[in-house]
Amino acid sequence: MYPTLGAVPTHELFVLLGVIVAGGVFTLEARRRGQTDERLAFVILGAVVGGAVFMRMGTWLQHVDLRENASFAEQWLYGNRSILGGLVGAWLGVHVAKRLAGYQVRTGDLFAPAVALGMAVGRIGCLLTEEPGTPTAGGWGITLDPAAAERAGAAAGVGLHPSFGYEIAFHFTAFLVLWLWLRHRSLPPGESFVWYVAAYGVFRFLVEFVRGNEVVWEGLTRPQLFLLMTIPLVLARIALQVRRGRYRNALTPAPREQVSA
Amino acid sequence: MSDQGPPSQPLRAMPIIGGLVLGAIVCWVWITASLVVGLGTAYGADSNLVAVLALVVAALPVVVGIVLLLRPSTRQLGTGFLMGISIGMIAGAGVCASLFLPGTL
Repeated sequence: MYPTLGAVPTHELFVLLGVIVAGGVFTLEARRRGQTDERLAFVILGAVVGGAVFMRMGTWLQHVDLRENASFAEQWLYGNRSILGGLVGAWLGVHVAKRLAGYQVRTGDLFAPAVALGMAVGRIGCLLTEEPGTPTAGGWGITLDPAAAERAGAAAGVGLHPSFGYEIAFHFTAFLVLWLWLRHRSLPPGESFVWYVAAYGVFRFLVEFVRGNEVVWEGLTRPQLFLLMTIPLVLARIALQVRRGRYRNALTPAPREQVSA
Repeated sequence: MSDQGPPSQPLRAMPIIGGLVLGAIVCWVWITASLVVGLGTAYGADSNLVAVLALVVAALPVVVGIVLLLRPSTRQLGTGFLMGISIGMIAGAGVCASLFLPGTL
């Protein structure tokens, strides 16, 4: 447990690989759809800037007493990173960038498979270095030796849920579904990202029960409280689209795989 | 795609990739330097002056990136540069630093 590849920290390396893989998938899909406008680069910039800022700052204000929180500089340099914060920041960044650049083409179908595969790769770093999860009697649990347990802040000698393994399986499956099937269907432009985020939100809420994060209120962790507020919004949007009949022919083969505004 | 707005330049790979690499290097050099010098300060320090100074220094490459972004001839280079800085912040808080300073993190 906690392997290092030479002097390179495992977690950061896999996050970096995840970003590179996501960039590659995004580029392939953008080329396939003929989206080569330079304003698309501004949209990606919005995503990575928003993602970087909210990923770092998403875990900042954890205490009601503000004096107990880290300073801005401390949080930026040493604070935890939040995937959920990063996703929200990237989404906001995309919308701000599109507004500023005057780019109205939907981009969710480019981001969905890229984010899914990037997350699958990035989470390998979490699986190898972070507290795996809560104890499980199942034979598939990860058992840490005392040194690894101390480093990860987990219990030693007992099987622990490989919660990041569950997440890797989810994201990789989502990528396969998006890449091999959904992108060739007649979904309204941009909707595959909404479906992916909704599915991940529900999955993440459930996997938090075995993640081992701090329980802060009524048996729920901070990510679960955040998701409790945001998942209904995404699901309500999908329900609204269903009522409007936008998904009537969503799963039929696409007549042309070209994004229109 | 008639409602995309005014016509725009096509994306070119080299300026974007070049900017990305430059931005990531600048970001990682800054992270490494901040660890060497102790910018950012440890938790519990009496003064945040050094931490504030670190953020000011960190803002310089961002300003350079924005200037590149605003000039039409260097717009894509600036976009890549700012992307590189952001990706460096997402992924790099440790990769380069520990390459230069094993055991820092």
